[in-house]
This record gives sequence, C-alpha cells and structure tokens, in this order.
Amino acid sequence: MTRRMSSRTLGPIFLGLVLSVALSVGCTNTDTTVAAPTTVDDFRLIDHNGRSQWLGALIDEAEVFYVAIDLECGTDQALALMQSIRTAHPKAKVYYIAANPKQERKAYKTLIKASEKRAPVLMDTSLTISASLGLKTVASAVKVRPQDGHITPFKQGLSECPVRKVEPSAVDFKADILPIIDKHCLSCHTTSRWVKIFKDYPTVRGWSQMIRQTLRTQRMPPGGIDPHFRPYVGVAKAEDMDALLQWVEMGMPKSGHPDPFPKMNHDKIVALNNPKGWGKPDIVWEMPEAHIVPASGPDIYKYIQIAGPTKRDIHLNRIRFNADFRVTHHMNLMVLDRPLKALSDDQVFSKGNDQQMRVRKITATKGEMYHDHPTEPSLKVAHKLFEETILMTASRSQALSAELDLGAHRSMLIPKGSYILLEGHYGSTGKEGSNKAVIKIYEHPNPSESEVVERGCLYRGGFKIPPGKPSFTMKTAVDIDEDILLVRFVPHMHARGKAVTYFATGPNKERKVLLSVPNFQYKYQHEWTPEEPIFIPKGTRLETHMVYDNSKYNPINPDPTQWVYNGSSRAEEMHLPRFQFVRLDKDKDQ
Amino acid sequence: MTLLLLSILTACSSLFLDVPDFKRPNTAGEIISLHKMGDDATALVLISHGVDCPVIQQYSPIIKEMAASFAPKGVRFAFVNANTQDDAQEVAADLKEYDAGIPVFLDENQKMSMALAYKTTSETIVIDPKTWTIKYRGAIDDQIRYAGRLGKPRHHYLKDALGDVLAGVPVKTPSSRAYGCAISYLD
Ligand code: HEC
Repeated sequence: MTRRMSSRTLGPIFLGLVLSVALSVGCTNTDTTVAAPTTVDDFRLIDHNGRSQWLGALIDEAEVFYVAIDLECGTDQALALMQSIRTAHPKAKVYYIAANPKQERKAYKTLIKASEKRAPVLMDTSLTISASLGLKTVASAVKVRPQDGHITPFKQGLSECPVRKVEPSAVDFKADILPIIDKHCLSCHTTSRWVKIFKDYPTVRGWSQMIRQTLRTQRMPPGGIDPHFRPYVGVAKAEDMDALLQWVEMGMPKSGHPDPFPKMNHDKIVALNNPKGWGKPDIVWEMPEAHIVPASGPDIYKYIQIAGPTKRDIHLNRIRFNADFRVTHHMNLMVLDRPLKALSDDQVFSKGNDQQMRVRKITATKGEMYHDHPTEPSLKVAHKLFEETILMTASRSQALSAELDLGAHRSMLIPKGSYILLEGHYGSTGKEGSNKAVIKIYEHPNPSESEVVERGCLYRGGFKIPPGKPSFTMKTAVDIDEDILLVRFVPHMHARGKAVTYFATGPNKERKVLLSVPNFQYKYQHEWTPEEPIFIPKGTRLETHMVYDNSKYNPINPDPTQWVYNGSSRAEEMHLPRFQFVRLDKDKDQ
Repeated sequence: MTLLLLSILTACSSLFLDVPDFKRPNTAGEIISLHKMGDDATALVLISHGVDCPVIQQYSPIIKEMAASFAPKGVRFAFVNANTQDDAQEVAADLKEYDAGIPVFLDENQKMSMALAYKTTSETIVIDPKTWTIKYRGAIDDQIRYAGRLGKPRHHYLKDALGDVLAGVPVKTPSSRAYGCAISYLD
C-alpha cells in the first residue's frame, strides 16, 4: 500500500505545508538564523501616489519583483537594480518597497519623477511586509509568483544598508495593542455581534491567522480609507494599525499579562447595550412589515414606504436606526416628494435612468461635470449639483444600531409633504433572517438657530463602463460659489467600486485631497466625518474621482465580460459622490 | 516553534502515502473513522469547518444541498474542524442550525487538518476511497468571497470534480483557490 499521490494533487498539498511553515517562520522574523521565507502571504499596501496595491489582484502576472528601497541609504543602487530588472524582464510587474514608519510619499514622488526607473513605491510603514518577503538589505530584490506567493530571492548584497526591522520591544501589549483593539475592532466583534473573535485570549489565538490576513490585506477595520490626509472620526491612525499588525506578526504575545479579553468584551457589550441616553424620540418610524432574507441566494434590494406625507417641516438633529445588520448591508433613508407607489419601477430603479428619484438642483451653487472618456459618445454631460434624496445610510459598518448625531448646532430639514422611503440592501448569511427596522428621530429644539446641513451629490448617470477594465475613472467637478463647510462624505458605488477621492482646488490653484478611499469596500458603505469640518471658500472647485474595476481581478465583480450601465441593481453601477455641507453665507439662502 | 516544525515534519512524512485513516470524535463524542466512512462510498468530500466564519456560514446551505443531491450516488460528505477556539457544543449548535446531517471530525490536536494541508475553512478535498488519493482540493465554487458574493457561481469546482470522479475520468480542474477563514495551527 505505498501508492504515491499523483504530482497533480501533491502540488497543492505541498504548497499548503510550505505555507504553514512560512507562516510560523514569519512570526519570529527577529531571529536572523531562520531561513528566508519561501512564500509570502497576500498583502495590500498604499503606494507613494496613494493608490492601494494588492498582490491578490496580480493572479495573471507571471512574475512580480519587489526592490527594497530607502531614501537614506542605498537609494542609487536600488534605482539601478530596478533599471536592470526592467531591462531583463520587460514584461514583469515591478514595485519598490520602502520599509519606513515615516510616510515619505512626497520625497518618493520627487525621486521617482526625476528618475527613469519609475515604479510604485509601496509604503511598508509597519515594516512587516518587507520582512515577510525576506528583504534584508536595501537594493536587494525578490521575485514573487503571485498565484501561490512563491518567493525567489533575486539580487542581494548590492548595498550594505539593512532594511529596517521591527524591534520587538517597540510593541507593548497592554499600553499599545489593547486600546487599539478596543477602539477599532471590538465594537463589531464582541461575543454579542458577529465573528466573536475577542471572547478570550485562546479565541484570539485561534483566529490569529485570519486576523493576520485581514490586517495584511487591509480589509479590517472596514472602510478602506487612506488615513494620510486628515483625521476622520473613528478612523484608526496608520501607526496604530501598523502596531497591531506588528503584534500579530510577532505571534500575538500577551507578555505575561492575565487574559484581558473577557473583561474587555464584557465591558464593550454593556456599553453597546446602553447607548447614549437621548431621551424620548420625537418621531418613531417603523417598517410596517419585515423584509425577509432567505438563507441562500443573491443579494436583494427591497423598498418600503414608512411615512408620509409629513405634516410639517422636521428639523432632524439626531437619528437612531435599529435594524438587523447581520442580514442588512445597508439601508438608505430617503426623502421623496411623492409616494413610492407613484413612481414606477422604471422611474426609480431602472437601467440607465439619469433622473433617479426626484433630484432638486441646488440653485446657489453652479456646477459642471466633465468626463475623461471623450471617445465615449454615449456619455452624457450633466451640469448640476444635485440635492441628495438620501438622508442617511445606515450600514453594517456602523454596527447594530446605526446612528447619526449632527451635534448641538446643526440640523437637517425634511420638508413638509415629504414621503419617507426605506431602501434595504440585503445579503444572505446561510441562515434565514429578517429585518424590521425602527427609526427614531430627535428634532432640534431651536431649529432657527441651527445650521442646516444640506446634502449634495455630483451625481452622474448615463455612463457605461467597458468590460474587463481594471481601472475606469469617472470625474466630476463643481465650482462652489459661496463659502461652505464640508461636514461629511458619503460616497456610493456598487461591486465594481474600487476607489474614490474628493479634491478641492482653491483660488490659489493648489489641489488638495479632502478624502481618499483607495480601497473602497462595497459591502460596508462607509461614511466619513472629518474631525474638523473642512472650510471651502467661495471660488473653490470641488472635484471627485471615482474608480471602477470591471475586470476579473475584482473578486466580487458580478460579470467582468459585460458592459455596465447606471442603475441601482447590484449588477449595475452607481456614481454617487455624495457629501454634506453647511452654507456659511445665510443671505444666499433664497 | 520546534514543536510546530516537528509536527509539520511528521505531517510531511505522510505526504507521500495515501490518505491514512483518521479517527476523531464527532460532536456526540463517538469516534468516527475516515476509512470506515469510505467503505460504502463512491467519493468522500471533506470540508474544513469553523464556527462563526462568515464564508463557511454562507456556504452551509449550499453544502447541505450538494450533500443531499450527491447522496444517492454514494458520495459522502464530512466536515473537519481544527479550530482550537471551537468546542464540541459550539460545533454541534452550529451544525444543528443547518441540519444537514453531515458528520464532523473534531480535530482537536489539528494533526488531521495539518496532514491534509488545509489552509482555510471551506477548503474542500475530494478523496477517491478506492485508492485513498486526493482528486480535488480547493473551493466549493467561486461564489462566496470575503466581502461579498456573486449572484451565482461562475465555476462549480466541487460539482464538476465529483462528476469526473464518479465518471472515472481525471478531474479537469484538480485545484482552485479556496476562500475561507485561515486556520491557525497552534503548537
Ligand atoms: C465596523 C465594524 C467592524 C470593525 C470595526 C471591524 N470589523 Fe472585522 N468584520 C466585520 C464584519 C461585518 C465581518 C464579517 C465579514 C462578512 O460578513 O463578510 C468581519 C469579519 C472579520 C474577520 C473574519 C474574516 C472575514 O473577513 O470574514 C476577522 C478576522 C476580522 N473581522 C478582524 C477584525 C479586526 C482585527 C478588526 C480591528 C482591526 C476588525 N475586524 C474591525 C466588521 C468589523
């Protein structure tokens, strides 16, 4: 009985084993006597241009080279090495990788612009990815086979400069790591919610490889924002996520502390079960019937009218959603000027429909949208900044009870005579589920003294996205002709959504990034609130770039062989770079 | 660390042999045997299982349906659970929810999963019990991904592999990439 396995089946088995060896070796990368890793696990890093680069998308590349670079040591040798690789392997995908906790994007921009050896420079600020590639000195390179992560050392010893490494002492479990987990993981992952990772230390260890994977590929915490530009409410600092990944790569040492997780988990559940007391709501809207989500099957959208016509102006100050977010991706609370039944399906959600819902032009700002695909004659050019019909998106990323608090000084207006519609986007989880959302509205006590938050969108319809294209960018812009404050960004795309950026070009012509989400995550439909509202002076051009991936490299692309049109079904796409703002010039109100 | 390497080496030594017998408790505490399961089967489908993993959860109704549709052809399905964080009650509760009647090998010391080189839950192995060789390794299909799912699968890897095995022809796609929750092999 010594029949051998065919080489066909042996390959994957062997790889699996090599991989697990590599994984465990990777955990002790401080030990220099350990052999160089032979495979690398999937990862994602932001490059010097702010793009998110993902190894997992390179499955059709035969070889990918990573050249270790550093601005302080061995820079020229690294550039020269890149040149020689590019000459010898003209078809290969090439990257520099810079292990440095400091963000040096500007300096790299200058360096790369000035050199002939252009390639993205991956910002390995946690230092862990360079280590897991086995890069020890600057101006050394490895070749990776993206299909299975196999590493071949390529060139070494061209410089003496060591690649920076994590000092194990740099990570303090209690002082550094626990607060990061508490702040950025636990609210979604207590034992009362989904994926109960942080029950106790043994459970955390049991999940360690998956935690590692989500951190290396930057899937968790959800959002996909680039934290480089300005602080956003609830968004983890890059150095915090780096510290967490370093701790995970070290094998999650508890450093002799007693297990802190049961108490942390318990305290968080108590806190989540006792949300801020807002008192009695002024208005409660409830779905008249539940939306049922079957155990299995494709994602579904359902619509239901929950109120209207409203009898007076409502000045909303706070809102709280109770919905079952196990089955709900997100719910949109919409304000319409006519009842749902007065809109034919066609009118509301049909393919290529530009005038989705009622869109009101905001008169005080004039805008312009332009497109970057002039060869595409079917693209319509619109010239409006639309008022958004969506009042709020309650998504899974805000956890079980989504809420919005505009703060003491602000309110949002739901005009008299409005109809309130709920749009639920549901996904099966394996178990049948249902959602019967309850929405509690708290009005502003002094609406006349509050600043009114308005909703704007550089909406675009009538587009089509070619099949197979990994990056299709649509740009919109509007000239803002009064002073405003930007208070929130709420971009919306579907499964092909890849990245979104909001820019402002001020009167001095300098273009600044307001928000960059290079790794847009369709499933979470995140909203971003800058810690300080952003002042936009009159004469600023507000611009958005939305990037779509309609290729097979997008793992959730419903069909990479098809043209994609505007529409609200999941198979179609949307282009909604939404934002919320306050007008500073009250006289312009009329 | 040494222990882990050692156990991997031990696992490696079984690499070149046929799939050996594994005996593990099920959720009722009874010892079940892989080879015994193969006695009256035309093919065995072994799926790596984990409680609370969103991917395997979404696959559960699909697995249940497949197990039922292939049962008349003599194909038997089983789960292998190597998660150190899942205890027998949790696994039982999880499986009861789907009520698919699929047995589970509780692989407490993780050696079975390591020897089978499972990297992630939902990873599926098709074994031909006549030869005890592995005919397919990878995903069930390509429908379910980490942060989303396709409306319907584009590739039915497992179904196709089983079709080939039952027809006695070489499996056309013997491996694919499985999405699931990475298994943490702890020492
Ligand atoms: C805003 C909510 C939220 C936060 C914050 C969050 N997660 Fe998650 N996480 C989720 C959801 C939802 C899932 C389930 C994914 C699914 O259903 O596809 C998940 C899944 C996971 C999984 C299981 C694997 C998977 O992707 O399905 C791991 C591991 C994980 N999260 C780790 C973390 C870590 C580590 C952090 C903190 C750095 C974190 N999460 C922060 C919502 C969150």
